[in-house]
Amino acid sequence: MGSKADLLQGTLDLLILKVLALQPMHGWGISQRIQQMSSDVLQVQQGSLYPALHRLEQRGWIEAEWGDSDNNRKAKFYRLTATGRGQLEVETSNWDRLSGAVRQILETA
Amino acid sequence: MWKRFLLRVRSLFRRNDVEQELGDELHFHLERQIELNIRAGMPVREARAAALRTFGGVEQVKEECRDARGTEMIETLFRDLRQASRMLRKSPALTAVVVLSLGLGIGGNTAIFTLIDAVMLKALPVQRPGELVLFGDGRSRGFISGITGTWNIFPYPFYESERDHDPSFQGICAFRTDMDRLSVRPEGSNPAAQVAWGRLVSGNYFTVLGVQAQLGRTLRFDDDRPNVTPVAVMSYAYWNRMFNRDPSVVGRVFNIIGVPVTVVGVAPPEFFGESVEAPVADFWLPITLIHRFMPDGESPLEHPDVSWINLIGRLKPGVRIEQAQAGANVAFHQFLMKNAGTSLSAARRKELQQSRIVFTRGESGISYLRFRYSDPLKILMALVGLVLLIACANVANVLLSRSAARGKEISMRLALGASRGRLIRQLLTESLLLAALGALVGVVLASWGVNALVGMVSGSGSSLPLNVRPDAFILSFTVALSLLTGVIFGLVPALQATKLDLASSLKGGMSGSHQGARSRLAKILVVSQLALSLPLLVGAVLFVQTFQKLETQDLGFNHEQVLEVGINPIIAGYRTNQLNSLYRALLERVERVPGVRAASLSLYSPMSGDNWSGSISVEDYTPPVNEYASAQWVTVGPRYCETEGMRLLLGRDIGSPDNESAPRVAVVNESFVHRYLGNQYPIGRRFSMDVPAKRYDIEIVGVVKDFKFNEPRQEFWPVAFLPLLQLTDPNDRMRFAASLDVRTSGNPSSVAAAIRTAVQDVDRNLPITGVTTVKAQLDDALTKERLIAKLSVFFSLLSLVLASLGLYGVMSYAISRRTGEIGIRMAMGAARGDVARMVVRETLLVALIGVSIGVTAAVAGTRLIQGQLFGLAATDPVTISLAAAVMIAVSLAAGYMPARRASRVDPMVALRHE
Repeated sequence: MGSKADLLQGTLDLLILKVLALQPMHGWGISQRIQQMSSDVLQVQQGSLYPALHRLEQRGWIEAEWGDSDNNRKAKFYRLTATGRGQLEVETSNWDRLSGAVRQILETA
Repeated sequence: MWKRFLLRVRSLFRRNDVEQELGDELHFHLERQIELNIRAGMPVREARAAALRTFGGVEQVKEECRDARGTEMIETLFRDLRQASRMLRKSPALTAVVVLSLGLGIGGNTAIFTLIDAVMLKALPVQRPGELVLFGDGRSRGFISGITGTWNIFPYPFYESERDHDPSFQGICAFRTDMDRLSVRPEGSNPAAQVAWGRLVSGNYFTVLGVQAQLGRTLRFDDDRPNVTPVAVMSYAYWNRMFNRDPSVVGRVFNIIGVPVTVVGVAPPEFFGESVEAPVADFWLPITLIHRFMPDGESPLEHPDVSWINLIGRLKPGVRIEQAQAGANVAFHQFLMKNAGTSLSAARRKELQQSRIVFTRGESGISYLRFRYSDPLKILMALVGLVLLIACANVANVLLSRSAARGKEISMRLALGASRGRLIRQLLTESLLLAALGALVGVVLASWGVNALVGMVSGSGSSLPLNVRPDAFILSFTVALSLLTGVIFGLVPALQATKLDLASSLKGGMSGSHQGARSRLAKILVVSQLALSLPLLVGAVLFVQTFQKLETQDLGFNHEQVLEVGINPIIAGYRTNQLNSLYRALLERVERVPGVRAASLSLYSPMSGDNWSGSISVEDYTPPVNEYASAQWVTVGPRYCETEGMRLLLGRDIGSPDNESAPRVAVVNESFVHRYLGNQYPIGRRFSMDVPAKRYDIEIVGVVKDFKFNEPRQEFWPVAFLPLLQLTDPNDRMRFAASLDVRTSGNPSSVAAAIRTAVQDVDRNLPITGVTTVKAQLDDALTKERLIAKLSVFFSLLSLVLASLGLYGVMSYAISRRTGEIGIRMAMGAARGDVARMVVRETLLVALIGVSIGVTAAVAGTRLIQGQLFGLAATDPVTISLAAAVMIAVSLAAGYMPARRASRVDPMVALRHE
């Protein structure tokens, strides 16, 4: 795990929102998808995923529903809400600005 | 937003479901990870361990999830509350003491302040009451002429010119100072007439006050013009009581005052008139009907010399009360000068120049109660204020000793890993729960107490027009104060306790200087409780003695077994020349009633609060310069002194031969003789009631012992009894007897019904306005004293109980803390008696310090109540020593139990305890 990059504070929320923007998913799925999409570079600290999910639900950006998973087991599925979609755009543009700024510093320095 | 709220509520109340789901969710995740690991080729056991490793601590994640939901705070609160109520249930005595002392403190303060507010501060239920001003102070009553100095009551012609010409006011209304008795009968029907109260008011009364009719209309400015059809407005309460809110009452004609009067409307329910006192008007009638209430229809309306009305004006916006007062005084002087004529003596001119009107703010209306009760209510407020302080001290004390007793429990919890903040929160929750319960009891007691107080203030007559609800401001103030007490005295010990040195405290030892400091603080609290209670106790003893002295004092006449029957020949339509035959018929008939020993009549009865007096001239007596001789007078029927139980010292009683054809006579009292006749033999001496003419046409035929006729606190002053049958002036209001006095051989109330019948036999239209006894009127006159005595006894006993509980608590705690020391002493050979004496000595020391501070405070403070006392000084040494002795005795009793417990300590047990 040490060789893999740790997640920046706050970026986990952005990644969860991004992943859920594609389709509703359960917690396990989200962790797998993030890992897979980042070509295994990013590994979500599995434990920290759940408090984040509950926090986002509390904020009203995502909502949860119990449904059947692919192997016919009950799982809690999260879905992006309308406010969550808006939040995703805000967070994305924030991220763009931040990473752009960092890149600029790295290039000029 | 809503959804988030629902989520939160759900997590609170469906906690088990939420927990279950959280468990399921994490379990699902772990299983998938384990499956993945197994597929990657791990053995089952290792796959599981690896999954858990990658996941992190499951319980920790759960906790973080709960935190993320933000319900942790509230859940903890609920847990604390449950724990707190368990603790309170475990020590019911302590809980009861705290809750009751706070409750009584809060309830008492709220109730008394609410009454003060209702009687003294609350604005009338009218439009913009702040604009209203009262001409004078509203305290004068009746019909008065020859006023000098400050005027509080006015002639009608002055009102007319003010109403029409004063530029400072939007309007000025007038009303008669007293209520008038009405006998009400619906026109066309023939049931017995009902007695009701009526207030005569100017036509613009409702307009100036800004009061709209509930139904129909109010009076109009032209309703008080001469020769219009008489109309009236009925009060909502009367409409509700007598007519069950039947709307057809409006427009109906009633025979109210011997003439048909049309009821044009009903006043709104909250409106009771301009006066906050009993009785309350049932009808408002145009003031021009005044002649209906006067002997032989004489009207004071045009009389510039007779004052009989109050004025209330509504200031124009922007006009200050001082401006308006200055303007009104200019107009008033012009009015007085114009009516005084041209040939004024210099002295008279000066007198008129010095006449003035002082305005009073009118927003709270007129209230005689305000004058009568403002001092007593302030005293009571101070009283309950002290009780609240004592209650708070008691609560503080109890909380202190309890937290001390729980030192061990707290150390245990700290040792087990509870955080300090968490423990403080727990202790605080307990204190606040206690305070909240106290507040709850307080609210209940307050609403009950307010009604009880209004009942006590109202006396036996009709009740006050006070719509009293516990005052929200004072309620929140007292509740806040008790919560604050809870917080401070819950928090301080909590902070101290959690700072405990774990090791020594677990051992049960009494380490640390803060333990000593705490017991010092507790002792200071007890001392201040005792010191505060003592003045209360002194006050209570003083008030009770005052009340007893007033109630049992010798009034100077034997008022037992006397019945006073109120009659009103004026509204029954009697003319002055018909009165003597009515009086003779009444007395003749009533004296035949079995059980009646004597009957007479009078202008007004003892202790009714009425008083007629005026200047007299006495033969061979020259008053000092600028003074008149004056006396109170009562016009009475034959056998008056016998009936009322006056003690005849010289001469004879008024008799039936003292009639219109006999020479005028009078019976006077001792004070009359002392003041005006000196050492001469009084019988046969003469005086008259006309100052300038000095006809000296009244001969004194009898002298009675001095008596208190008007009120229980009065000084003796000159009184003359004049025969009703001898008055010949047709305009003399004194000819109309208002009281039929009956001396009975048994219990007076047992013949009341027979006397009613007798009166109705003589004339069934003669209204009986009330049947009472002098004793009952005296009781009414002592309402205020009874109220103060009762409440001060109640509250001082309460504070005494609280203080002794406090003392008991502190001593018990001290003993338990010193069990070890006592054990050692006993092991070293101290006798049980020595130990008990030691504890008693300590108790006594605390009590003596408290009592001596209290005595000082009492001596300083009781001077403030001197005015309310009767027959004894506020610093009465017997009273103060008595109170101090009671206090010390109670303290010793409170210290006795702990002392006994201390003397029973088994040295072996005590030493092991260490």
